[in-house]
Amino acid sequence: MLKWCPYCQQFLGETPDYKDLCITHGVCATCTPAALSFSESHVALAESLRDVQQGLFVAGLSGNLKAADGVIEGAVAGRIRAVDILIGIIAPMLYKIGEDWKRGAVSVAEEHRFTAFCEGIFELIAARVGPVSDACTAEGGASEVLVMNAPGNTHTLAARILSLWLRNKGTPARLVREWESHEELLALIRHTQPRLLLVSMALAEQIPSVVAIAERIAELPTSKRPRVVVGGYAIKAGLVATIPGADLVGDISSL
Amino acid sequence: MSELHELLKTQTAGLHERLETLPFFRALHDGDLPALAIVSFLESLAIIHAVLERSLAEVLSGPLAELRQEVQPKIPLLLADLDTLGAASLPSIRPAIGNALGYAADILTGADNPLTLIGPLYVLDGSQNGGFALKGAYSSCLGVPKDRLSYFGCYGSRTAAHWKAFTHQLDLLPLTEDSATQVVESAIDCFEQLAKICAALFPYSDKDLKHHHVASINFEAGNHAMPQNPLEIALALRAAAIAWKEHPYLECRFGERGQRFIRSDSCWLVTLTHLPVDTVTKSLSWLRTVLASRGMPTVILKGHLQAIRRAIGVDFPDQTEMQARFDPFLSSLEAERQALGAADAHSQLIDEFDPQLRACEGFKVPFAAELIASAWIDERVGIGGSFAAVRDWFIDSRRFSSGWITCVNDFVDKLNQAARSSC
Repeated sequence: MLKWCPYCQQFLGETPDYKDLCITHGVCATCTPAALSFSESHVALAESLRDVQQGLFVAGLSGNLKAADGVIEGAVAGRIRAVDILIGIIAPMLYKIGEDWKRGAVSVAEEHRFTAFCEGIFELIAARVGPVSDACTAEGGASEVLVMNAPGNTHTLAARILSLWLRNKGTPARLVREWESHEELLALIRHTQPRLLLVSMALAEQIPSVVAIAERIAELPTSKRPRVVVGGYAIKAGLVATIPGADLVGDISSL
Repeated sequence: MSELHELLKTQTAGLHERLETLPFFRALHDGDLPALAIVSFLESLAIIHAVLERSLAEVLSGPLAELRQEVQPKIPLLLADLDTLGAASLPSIRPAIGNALGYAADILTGADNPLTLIGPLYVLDGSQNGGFALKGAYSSCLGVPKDRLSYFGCYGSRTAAHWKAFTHQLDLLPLTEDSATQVVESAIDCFEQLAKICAALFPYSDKDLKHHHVASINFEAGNHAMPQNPLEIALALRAAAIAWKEHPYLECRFGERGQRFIRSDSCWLVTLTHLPVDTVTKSLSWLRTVLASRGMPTVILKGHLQAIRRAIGVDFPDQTEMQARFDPFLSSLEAERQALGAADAHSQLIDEFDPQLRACEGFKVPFAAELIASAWIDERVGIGGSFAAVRDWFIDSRRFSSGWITCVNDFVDKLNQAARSSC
């Protein structure tokens, strides 16, 4: 389920069951003092999230990006942050479409089309969010967070969404697109000194390569060693139970 | 649109010329193009043709369907060539395969607009003109007689006549200017993608060679894990052959494509034997849902896993952990049958109905009762739609006699009654 704060319309994270995309509500730390003054307008805001979700789902079925842009426009006007739509609605939809394919409810072609639609939504929102500050982009210097795909995971959208979301929140995050060897990755880690290395893993067969990364990072001195956190479809779907040297998260909000 | 062919020709002429000047084609002309590059080229083409032909097959009527009728399906030809060249045991040039998979995904994504299929159809069928002229060069680089190659120049002496008929049909398509532009764009994209593939194919480096890519076993399997040990690949293919033979239903229902998928699945299953046991069990549950939802009840997967287990015992007798990797999953299937009270009741019903089904007239599929009972369990344990996916096929009157269908329906009633009485 997808948990949002009805006061500030901020995405708070997912709660199991991850297959269930119903929107539920919690109260974020900032809004806790306001929690006693829950009014009808907050109910309306909460309802509007469901409308956004439904509107994007319908637009996705026909691949109608123009309609989706209208839904996003309306959501932003209703005080929902555009990046929260990505991480709180689009990313879970991507998981759901993978599950639907597994059950034979959608074809490969439909899955590809929906993913292409989500890519389009990402571009729309990235353009709307605009350039983030240099400190947050941190392509050349220090990064608090490095985001990368597990070797062999060719689905890049989730990592791009996560990286944009973090940067928009003011967390210096860098998307590691390509690296040739463990030495190159370790050199990047030494250079950027991240606190976290987030790895997006799609399939269980990527375990050996992620284990190898975690092992190499464990060899770094404690002061230079980022916490390795692995997420993605393989984790959410429960295909992977443990990876030595890494924490597994089904939901980004648990970080 | 009467000038579509001319428009396509003029708009893609430059790209066509550039494609032919790539090192791949220069080496082909010079007779020193490595066989590996040609095999990976055929694999790449198979990946693209598979998606294109399946997408076109969904266009059932109208001018595009008529255009499709002009074109000979290429998948059987590519399959024959890949078999002749022993592709399954050769390394693949990974960047080229990656480019082909990417392009195939693009075709699939855009296929809801059939106009986007016309450009690739034009380019690929047009390439048979060049293929006819270059067949000798391919044959010489491969060291294989021309008459054993099927894909290149597949129209043979009819090439010119075929092209004339195809382009005539192309010009009959009732397209607006906008639609024609979309067709041209899709043809341009096809040339550009083929150029990317050919550039990746030759020259290649050792780094580009993936010892074994699943595309060499099944060009529709995407990009999943493959064993890299040739012994494991051979073992996987042997087990796939056993599973295939054990269930004639697979051939009846899924044909050659099903056989390819069981071979590539078998390779993936063998890679699981190197992963932690929890992950293996979860991954098998995942695959079970994928297969059962598509009309392959779990009894097939069970037999396949047992075949792999036996083959590992023969080829890797010391690898006891590898042999035992599937055991928790297989045990869970048995426990599931017991919990549903299906173990004895189903065996009795299968024994009762199998002879009746065998005695029916017309088309028959061996072991149908066992398959239906397995699908019934799949549904019961929460794989929605799995029972209908099997039963509906077995009661299709276009395929089976009324006697068979009655017998299947009686069997299903008995399964349900047995379940009610065990509650």
